[in-house]
Amino acid sequence: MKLLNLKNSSLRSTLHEIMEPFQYSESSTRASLFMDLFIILCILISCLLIPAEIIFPSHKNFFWVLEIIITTIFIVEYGLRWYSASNRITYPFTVYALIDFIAILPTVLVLAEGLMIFSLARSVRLLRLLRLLRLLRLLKFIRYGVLIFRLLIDFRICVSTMREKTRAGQLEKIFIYTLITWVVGSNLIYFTESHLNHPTWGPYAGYWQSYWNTVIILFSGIEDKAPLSLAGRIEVTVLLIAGICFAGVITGEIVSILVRHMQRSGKITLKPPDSKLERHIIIIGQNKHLHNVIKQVNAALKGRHYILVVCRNADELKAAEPLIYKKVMALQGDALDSRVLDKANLNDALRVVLLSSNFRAGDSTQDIDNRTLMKTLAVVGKNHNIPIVAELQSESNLHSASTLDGVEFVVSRLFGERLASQAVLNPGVTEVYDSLMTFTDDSSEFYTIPVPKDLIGKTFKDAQIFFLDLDEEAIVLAGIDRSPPNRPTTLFKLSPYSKKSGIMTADLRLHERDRLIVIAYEQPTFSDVDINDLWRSNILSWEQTT
Amino acid sequence: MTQNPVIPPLSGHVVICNCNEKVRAIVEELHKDTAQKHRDVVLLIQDRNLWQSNPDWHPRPSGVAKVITLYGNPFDKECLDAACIKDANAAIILADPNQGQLADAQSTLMAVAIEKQNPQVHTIQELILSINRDHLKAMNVDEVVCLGEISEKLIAQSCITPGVKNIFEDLLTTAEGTPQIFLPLMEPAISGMSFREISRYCIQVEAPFIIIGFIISPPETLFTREGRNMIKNSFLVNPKKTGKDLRLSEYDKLIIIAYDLPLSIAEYVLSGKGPP
Repeated sequence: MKLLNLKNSSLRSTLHEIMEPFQYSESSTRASLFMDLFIILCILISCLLIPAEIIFPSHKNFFWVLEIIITTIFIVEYGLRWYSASNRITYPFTVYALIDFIAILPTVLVLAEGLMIFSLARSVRLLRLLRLLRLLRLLKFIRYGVLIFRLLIDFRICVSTMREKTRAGQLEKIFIYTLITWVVGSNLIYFTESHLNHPTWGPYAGYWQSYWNTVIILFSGIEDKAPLSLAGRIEVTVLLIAGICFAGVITGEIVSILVRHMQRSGKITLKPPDSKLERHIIIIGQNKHLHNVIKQVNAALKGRHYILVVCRNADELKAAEPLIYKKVMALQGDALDSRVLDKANLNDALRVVLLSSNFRAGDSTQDIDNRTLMKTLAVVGKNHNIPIVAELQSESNLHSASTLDGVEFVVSRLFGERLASQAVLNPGVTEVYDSLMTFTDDSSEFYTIPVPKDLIGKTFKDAQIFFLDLDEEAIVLAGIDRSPPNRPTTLFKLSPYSKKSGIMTADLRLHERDRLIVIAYEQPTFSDVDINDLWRSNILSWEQTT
Repeated sequence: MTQNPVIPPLSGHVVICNCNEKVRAIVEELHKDTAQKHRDVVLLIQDRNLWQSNPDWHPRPSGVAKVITLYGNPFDKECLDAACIKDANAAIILADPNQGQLADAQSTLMAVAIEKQNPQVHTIQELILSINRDHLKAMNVDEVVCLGEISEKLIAQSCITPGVKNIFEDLLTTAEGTPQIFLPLMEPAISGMSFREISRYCIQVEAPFIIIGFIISPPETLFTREGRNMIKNSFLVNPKKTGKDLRLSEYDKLIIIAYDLPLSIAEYVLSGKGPP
């Protein structure tokens, strides 16, 4: 993620970019994220000021100064948004602008009353109401819906992973048992000592004093604060034994956490059983391609989505590069077991990748493919809407496998053979293919996009010229895709003006249902997003809400 | 080298070493291309028994080009001479099926041996382990095809953009009626023009190809083979704003998607440009 997009060099466009809500897309910048977080923080503080003024009336003046500062920030924000808006005339009447205005208005009116400008808010009751209306600022959160949603998901996953790593559940149990023992023990000794002995003398004569002395017994084992009664001494002895047990268990737990941490160092984080992943990529199976597939997918998605690897030896998988594996988790189990697929949150995933399993002794390619096909069927059976990519070893299985809609099967051997022939026919071409197949910041890939509204009804030639002159984003229009929605890129033509493409020039007028095949550095951001594509998850790297 | 037939002198042919299960598809793919269907292929077989016990690896005769099988060790000069390596256009070194996952060393040495015999030959090596790719850079191997890498990249591509695999499949096949990527040389008539200008003129006349990028080659790479890999050709697919306006010289190449290699790109450019 860049701090700023330098391609938008004018002050207004840079401001617009910063003020636009962060969308987790390639075009969103870090400055935009910081601005969003700052405004969210201001909204939270300003809303908390309302109850704070009531709870702590003595600090009323300080709170009011804070309120004025925050309102000033909101006024500046409003001004900047207005200045950077694409249409400055209509901007004040947009929903978000009205919300921003409502957020500023109550404080401005109260200030105006203070300055005796308006007589509108003269009654105290109306003033209070105006102050309460500041709560309407919560509406400002609507703008940051996507960001807050994603941050909450990340926070939840992060917390559950930390809990799993530190075995917080176990420690919580021990802590609760210790607390109960402490409270019960302190009360028991206090009542024993105060009823059976001198009520005003001794280390357990005071109620809170007995709590302090009991905790010392429990955790340090120092028994110099001896109770005076026999019953009290018996109780302290029991507490001493309990204290030794607790200390042992806690020490053991801490050592176990440290050992586990050392053992798992350099390995992929295991998915906590109670953690729920959403909008993640599932990779089923493990072979020598796993690391590079993770690397490529991560490079394409810029680390925005979690990747979950499901395989039998998940606890042994190594995280080769910590930066890439930051959002990678592993789940142990066989994908043929539907409970494992449930644990992988298959229904909330965006994509499934099935890798061929490693060769075992006596395995044929057919055996390997049969395993992959069975896992594919298991996934399709669980969720038939999710796009699946499966790796096969032999092209002989492609025919039977093609009966499954929505599943793409990749047989690398086929591509290798063809690429070797291409290298003979067009020397140097392998590098071009390699560049088109690799996700890096400085290489282009193929994408399919809906026809931009402005190009509907225009010719393919017009669209080519449009993209050639579009300097903000480097895009080459390579072809047209007229496939049915459920079978993407199955009915397409590259270089359609060639007679051999089979398309008549007259047919090269772009329709709304067409898709364009483009070569671009990232998913083009200028085009409107088809809501159906979002639902079908055909678009991963573009998450703007329409 | 024993019991080999005396082969007629060949020229511009393709020599395939270390034949494995991929050889049949490669030869058939080569002969599918209309422009290449007359290109002869020489298969250099090291393990005669393995080859003969796998008849499904044997390419089917296309009827036009010759497919000659020679038995022998490609490291032997005589064997390479018999395959007329000095006049060959390209050499494909496949992974030796007997060497398993460690075949890369032998394949690379074979490529070096072939390059020594004929530095002009275009060598294409099949790589088993992608980790070895970097070591090949210094060995003058022209192109490397690694199945593992292709698999990884295609899986990732399909994961991000469903259906994109079909585009690569379409581009890679040489069958009639499918497009391919070609790298035609810039012609002197259009030398000095930029990518933007060339593309615009070609679009205006609805040229039967799409220009997607260019390769800037230093002039010396055209004349010398020695140390050619030391001089890095800079290729640019989908140039950005500054790249679009970069003036191209006659030594540069264009990267185009077309159904056939156009006879002259300059013709389309000049007709799109109109009379001066």
